[in-house]
Amino acid sequence: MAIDVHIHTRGTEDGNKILKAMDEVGLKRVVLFAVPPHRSEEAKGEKQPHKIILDQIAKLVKVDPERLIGFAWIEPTLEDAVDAVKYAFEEKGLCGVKMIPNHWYPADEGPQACYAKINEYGKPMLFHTGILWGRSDTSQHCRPAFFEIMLHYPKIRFAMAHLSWPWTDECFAVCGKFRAAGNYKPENWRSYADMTSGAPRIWKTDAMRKGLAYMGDRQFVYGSDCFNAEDPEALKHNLTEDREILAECGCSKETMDRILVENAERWLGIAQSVETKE
Amino acid sequence: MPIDVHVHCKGGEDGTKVLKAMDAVGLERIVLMSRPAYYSLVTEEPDPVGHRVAIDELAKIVAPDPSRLVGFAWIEPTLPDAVEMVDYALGEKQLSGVKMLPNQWYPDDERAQAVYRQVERYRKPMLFHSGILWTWGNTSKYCRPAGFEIMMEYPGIRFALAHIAWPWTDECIAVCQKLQWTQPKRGHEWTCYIDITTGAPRLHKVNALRTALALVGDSHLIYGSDNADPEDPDAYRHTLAEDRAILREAGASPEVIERIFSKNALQWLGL
Repeated sequence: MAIDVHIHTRGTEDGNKILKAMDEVGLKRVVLFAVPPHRSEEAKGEKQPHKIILDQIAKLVKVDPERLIGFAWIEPTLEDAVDAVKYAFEEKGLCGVKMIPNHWYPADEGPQACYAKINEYGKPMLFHTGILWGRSDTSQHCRPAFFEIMLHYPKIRFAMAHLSWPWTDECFAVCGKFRAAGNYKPENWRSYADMTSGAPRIWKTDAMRKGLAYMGDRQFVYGSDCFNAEDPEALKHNLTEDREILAECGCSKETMDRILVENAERWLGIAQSVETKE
Repeated sequence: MPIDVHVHCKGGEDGTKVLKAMDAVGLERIVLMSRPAYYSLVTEEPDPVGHRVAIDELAKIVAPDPSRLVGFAWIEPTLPDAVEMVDYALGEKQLSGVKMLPNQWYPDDERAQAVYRQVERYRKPMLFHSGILWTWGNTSKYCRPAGFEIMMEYPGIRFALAHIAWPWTDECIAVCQKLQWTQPKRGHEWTCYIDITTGAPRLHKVNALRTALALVGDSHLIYGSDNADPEDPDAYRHTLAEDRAILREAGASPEVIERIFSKNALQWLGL
């Protein structure tokens, strides 16, 4: 079984079909992102663009919100961003927030206003980090070192997606800083590395080998970056490849289970108990 | 005998005890840094003792044998007396170099450059923290090694980038290589050194040193421990053994290891 923490939606998918695809490939849960509000056709020109996309994702996951875990996509440069956080959690029952630094730095005032709001709810966050394939000079905003700002939001467990490739070592170094900031107590370690691909395989294998040696196996989560959650083949492809990569890194079954299931549940705040032994 | 270029003090140490600990582990010299003027390394909280107090403490610690206890003043350029304290440390107190840590300032900050200009008058070496910085908040971004290219404007300063600037080890090596090639063309000495003090996890450090040895050679690599208990011989032992093992794993010969542990530091220190 696995949990896929990184799936994009178009907003029009059928939750039942997604569940069926998940059952076929052995996915226990998936994290589904709302459509980015600044990219949504339906939200174009709306005064509250976030509301449109949050309503979409809430409807999509309604069929089984324990297995279809809805994440609000919050774009902090939009005026309704902070209100949208409240709407997502209080009215729509969503479970976390996705953000991509879209020409803003993580420590900018706008995002920090959003973090402050999310911190009130103690919900998890997933950030795009690493190279960003937009059409302009976008990647500079996505360096993992910039997410040190999350030290100021102690109730947020956050994941840095794609191992921040090509800045994988920087990603691990930042995680190490958070580990030290939490006094090396596993229950305090709030930074996670989402191993969703981005890194070419040879880089990813090398990065995972180094990351596991440095961080151990309790802060990695698995994601697919899938854009077609109704298609079992689309869900299966990266799951198969990442299992191979982890095997190549010498991971035991216990380590694989942690990376593929347990760590995600702890990040999401739905783990049965907090492990206190490293 | 080895030289450890990266040892912290808390300010109250007894220099003779430090020397005794050094003798117990076979250290020829150590670079002993004063404590920061604004921050406690013990509590990790602000502690504005000021430059003068920290420098006076260090001068007292190294007094029993300044040739073996090589005192470096920690200068914080955002404090108004920073430039004046360079004179106090290197002139009046006869300390041997300056330590700096980019504390939410970039290395090309005008205030930092004012300090470099003053240090350059004394032709003394500098040691910079570089790489990930475990102080609270959004602090590491100021410590990228490429930020230290500004030191090319101060060719009279031999400077070292600590921790191989992990996680930006490739960038550190690239900066070192840039200076290796470009400074001699202007008639300048190659002034950039890499302090291999740990920060990097072992696997990363082996790879980084392998890369450094291949690209820039061994002459500008220097050994440090990041020890914060200079009176305790055991605090030195572990990294002395581990870094020797790491260098062997990275393919360094015994002669190269010897240079990294000893001769290169003398060159950096100007001795």
